[in-house]
Amino acid sequence: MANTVIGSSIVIDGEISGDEDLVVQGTVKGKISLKESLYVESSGVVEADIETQNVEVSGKVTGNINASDKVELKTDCRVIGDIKAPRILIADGASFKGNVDMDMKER
Amino acid sequence: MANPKDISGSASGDNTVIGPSIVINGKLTGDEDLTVRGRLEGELSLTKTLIVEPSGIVKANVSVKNAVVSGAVVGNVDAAESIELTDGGRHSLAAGHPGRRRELSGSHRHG
Repeated sequence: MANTVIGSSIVIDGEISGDEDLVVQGTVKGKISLKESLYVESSGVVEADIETQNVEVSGKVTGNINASDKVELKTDCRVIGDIKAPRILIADGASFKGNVDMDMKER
Repeated sequence: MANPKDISGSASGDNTVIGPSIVINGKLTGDEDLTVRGRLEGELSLTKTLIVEPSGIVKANVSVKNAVVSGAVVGNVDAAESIELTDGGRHSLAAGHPGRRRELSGSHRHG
């Protein structure tokens, strides 16, 4: 599983980049760019622009999400921001405010 | 040194870990143990223990309760309790930063 975990009491203000999965249980403000997957767990708060392959949100995200593969908004998550990804799943009970761009011109 | 798990001494999955390919640039604060296997630049303040593993690089002003350094730390380290520099680690910056001098200075308060 994921190597990197930001625990629930951790607050990061800045930029995170890397080539591996990232699990956020705490707070991250700024910018996240990964080549793999980002998991925002139910205790996680992300106020950042996100650029990854996959994003799975169970917590709160404020910021634009740009995923090269898939974005999954789970039940009880709160997302404010635009989502750009070829595949988007929004679960029953998820709250989302923003635009969706699935980049139709590629198909 | 061969097994990084030996250093942390706990297998608790709840701790914060910065993986080897991760770079964090900015300010990090928290109330739990932090294990760094990647790179952290900026400012770091914790009420618990910082563990810098052999692959870890911290370029920051560090304020923690305890510090266990097996990797590289550049910057001032202020520990409320203890600082441990293990002999297995390299206390200098990795290749790619030639000529960069190791620094581990500041107010080291023990006990």
